[in-house]
Amino acid sequence: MEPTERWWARGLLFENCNCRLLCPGHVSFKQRCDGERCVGHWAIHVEEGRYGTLDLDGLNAFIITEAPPVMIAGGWTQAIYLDERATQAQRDVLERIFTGQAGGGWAVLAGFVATRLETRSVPMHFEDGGRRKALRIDGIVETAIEAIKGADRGREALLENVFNQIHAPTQVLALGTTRYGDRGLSLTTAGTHALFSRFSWAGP
Amino acid sequence: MAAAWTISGELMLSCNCEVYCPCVLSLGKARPSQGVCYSWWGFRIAEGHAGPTRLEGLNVGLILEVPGPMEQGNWTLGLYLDERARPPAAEALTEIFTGRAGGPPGWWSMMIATFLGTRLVPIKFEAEGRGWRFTIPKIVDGLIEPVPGARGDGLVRIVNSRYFAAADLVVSTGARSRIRDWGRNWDFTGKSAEYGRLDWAGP
Repeated sequence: MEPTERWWARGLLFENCNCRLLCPGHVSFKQRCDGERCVGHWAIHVEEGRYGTLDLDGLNAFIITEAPPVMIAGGWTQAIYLDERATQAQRDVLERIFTGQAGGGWAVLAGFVATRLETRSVPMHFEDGGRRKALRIDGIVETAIEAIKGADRGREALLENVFNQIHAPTQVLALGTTRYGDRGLSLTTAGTHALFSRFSWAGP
Repeated sequence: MAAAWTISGELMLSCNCEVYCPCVLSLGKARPSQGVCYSWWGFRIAEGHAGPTRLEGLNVGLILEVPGPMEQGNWTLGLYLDERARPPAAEALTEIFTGRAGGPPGWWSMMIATFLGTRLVPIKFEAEGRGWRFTIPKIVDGLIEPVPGARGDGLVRIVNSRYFAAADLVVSTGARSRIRDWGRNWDFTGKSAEYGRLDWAGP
């Protein structure tokens, strides 16, 4: 494999899982999540990014993870979906990043994954509205999250300064609704834990 | 109608949910982590009055047991008032903390099915290390500590929530959190807790 080049990316990351807000696993992987299995997704829109000289601007990705209720136990199953608008070179780089081979926060998360389903290249529709963020992959997933109301209606309700491998430390609190099913994994939620942040990643 | 009142200072809460308690952000709609909601609450009133009755310098505690989501009611609540409270202050605080004097805790009056009563006891509410200690001798042995943050002042905060008690909260955990009274014997060590500014007024 080629050595990892210096890379960085920034953009929007949103998530929804089957816990109530706030997901105990989001605070610490050592805590017990609400369900018998912990299933959640990350939806990613790269606004701007470079891997060496390769441009990653505007690309989307969707990652679904199923884990035991105490996530730190590992044994996660994960599937990655990449934007079909990406070239083969861009797909290779995005897959390297999300599977932890290019360092950064994703490398820590990849250490918990025991079963990795084959990455798929699919058409995706990403929507970055104000309070609402959404992603659709026809035949696979439809997900939308909406920021909860703040006491001061003009501002968002936030979770500030929390440690996380891939989110910015300040995240907007939200509730999400997802219908996902593919290759034996499924996630159906209505009004459960969700949040979004403007991420900034770099590696190796 | 209750006299106009205000109380300001600090509050803390320790419960049996995982961190962070889903009841807070759902405004009482969520099922608690363990199905049932057990908690103790502590208040330090730095400034306050109810009509002409002065409340500054008094501490308050309470024990709360809810069989499901908070908004569904059927609460059992017991109150602890600072033993230094004179009868008019004790009466005013009982009205406030059972919801009968309105304001932010006003909705409690509809939720409380069983009121265990009021005990006049010594109550301490103090900063300790990174956290806060709440003590009622032989009843509450509480020390809550903030969950370590990513950077800056080290605190993880909920900001601008619509939670009735305080919009901004420090996400914390029970470093040592036991309460024994009224037939309950609970230990919330390692579970969800929060600290915030107390700034309530009514009715």
